[in-house]
Amino acid sequence: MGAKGYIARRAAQSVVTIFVVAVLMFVLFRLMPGDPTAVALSPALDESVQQEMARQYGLNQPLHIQFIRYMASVVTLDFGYSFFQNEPVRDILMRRIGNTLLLMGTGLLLAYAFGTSIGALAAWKRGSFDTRVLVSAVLFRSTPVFWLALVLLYVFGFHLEWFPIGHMVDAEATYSGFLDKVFSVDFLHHLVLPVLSTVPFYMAYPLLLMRTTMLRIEGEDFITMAHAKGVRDRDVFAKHAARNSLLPIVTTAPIVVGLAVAGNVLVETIYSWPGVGRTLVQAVLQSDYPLAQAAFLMIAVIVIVGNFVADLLYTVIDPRITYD
Amino acid sequence: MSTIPIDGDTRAGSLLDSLSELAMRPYRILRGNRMGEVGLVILLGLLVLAMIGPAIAPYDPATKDINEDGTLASNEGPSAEHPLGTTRYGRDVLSQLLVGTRSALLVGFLTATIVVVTGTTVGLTAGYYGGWVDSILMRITDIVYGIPILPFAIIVLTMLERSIFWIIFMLGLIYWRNCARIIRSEVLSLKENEFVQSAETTGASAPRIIVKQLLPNVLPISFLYFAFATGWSIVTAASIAFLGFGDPTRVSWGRMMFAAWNTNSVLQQPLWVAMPGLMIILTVASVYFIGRTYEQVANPRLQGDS
Repeated sequence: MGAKGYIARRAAQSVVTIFVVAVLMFVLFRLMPGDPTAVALSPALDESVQQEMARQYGLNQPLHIQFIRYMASVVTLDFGYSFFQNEPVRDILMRRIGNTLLLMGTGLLLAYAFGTSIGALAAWKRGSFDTRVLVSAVLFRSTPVFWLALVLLYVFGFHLEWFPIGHMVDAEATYSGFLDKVFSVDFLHHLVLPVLSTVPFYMAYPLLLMRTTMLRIEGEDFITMAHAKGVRDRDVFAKHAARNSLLPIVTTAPIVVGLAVAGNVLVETIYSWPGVGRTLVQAVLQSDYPLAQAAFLMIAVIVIVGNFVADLLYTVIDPRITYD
Repeated sequence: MSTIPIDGDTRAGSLLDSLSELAMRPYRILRGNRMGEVGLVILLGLLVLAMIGPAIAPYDPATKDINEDGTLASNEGPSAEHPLGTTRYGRDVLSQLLVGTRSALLVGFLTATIVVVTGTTVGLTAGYYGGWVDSILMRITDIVYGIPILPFAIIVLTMLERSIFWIIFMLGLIYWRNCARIIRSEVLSLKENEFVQSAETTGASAPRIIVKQLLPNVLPISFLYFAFATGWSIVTAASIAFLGFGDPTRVSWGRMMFAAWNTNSVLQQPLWVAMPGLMIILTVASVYFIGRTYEQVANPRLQGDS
């Protein structure tokens, strides 16, 4: 089977995974103890309003009808209205997905840039530098994202007052559009602490992996050969050793994307960042089930697409791959 | 008369031998390696704390301390009575910290046990049988890789029950995925080995080959994943608790930070947040140090997950 067939199959598997996760959500939301309508509908509401809401959300339908309606809503991305914000769930999430991807993307980009270069340097230099890097990386990996976020908030937000303590932009600031906002100094100022909270945790994994792979590659013949040919040390490092160590970095990217999704939920919550993760936590706490369900599915799709993209990159980078 | 093993058992050693070897090997490997030794000493210290923590805690972690004038000793700084100060509700931070050790290690070790048992079984079965068994098990593994654990945990715990049991069960049911994949690929290469093939030709049954030949050879990987999974689950469980979805009946480091954050006490009583976080770092780093040292020496081919 060729690369195209392989990619098509992985794409199909990704769709199946999304489907299974969606079914899992349906089951979970109906496993709630007691009557789901009682949980979903506030008893404070008028009797007639309650009945109207139950009808609207299909909560009084038999289970199989509910399931079909639910799957239809997954396919059409129409999750109805939020219980608490009088707005379609889709509109709320569409407004926030960009904020989440922006924060997560910046964190991942910096983590990979620093992680791979520091990891490669540690393997190249060895000795005490390597040991210090290794110990720091393990400590970074052991530090909960939310704890670092709280510490940075406390030190640089409350005490030194160098950075704002939450939100994406100043409350008074107005921007004409998303891009206008994103390219403002105000926004970057707000971005610093949330990103700094996540980078150490995300970067530990690519760092350790890069280091291990470099150490192994340095012992191989083609590196010895490059040295023997008189290639400058710098070039052996960058063009031979480091470049060839990047493959496992790409293939394990889904693991880091998985970490980043969790990290984002925590950082968004602490820094009042209007993203999908914070929306999920709030929706669950308020029993806003349509919003919670859709927010969860959106996060799952980020993870599953991340896995798929890593598969794609793998086929591009390594021509030796066999598609079985 | 000496017995002659006919199915190649001696090649891989009996399971009992390899288990005792496995129990001793980490110790031998860690000895003489600074990072491993430090990790081991810290972990042993924490284990002792987990056992005697509640006994040596100066106060009941739930008791509210009332000042002489009848007011609550709320968010107090360090003092002789309260070395790490008090919480918003006048509870002793040090006592909560000591008692919380037990929850962290309980979650870590029990989750890691589920992870390793599930991951090893799935990896061995998929790798050895191949074909449709492999396909099905690996597709399930792919699906589990698609589940974002923290968001999933928040929903499951809300729908079912916020209890330590469900936290352990759920983390275990998701984190086995890495272990299963690595063990499967190891089994695929082991299967090509002479001793497995000779066992097959002598007619050894599949379960026998799996248990006697393959399992002893993948146990070092399982041990490694035990260490990693302990770390992952302690951090994730703390994150769950910090968001407010932890077991409300237990004192845990994550719930301490949740309470501090939720009562806006971070500024007045920073120790209430700083100390549980440092305890988590200490615990998780100790198991990762052990894992990494073991990995370097026992199996340099592995690309660690820590």
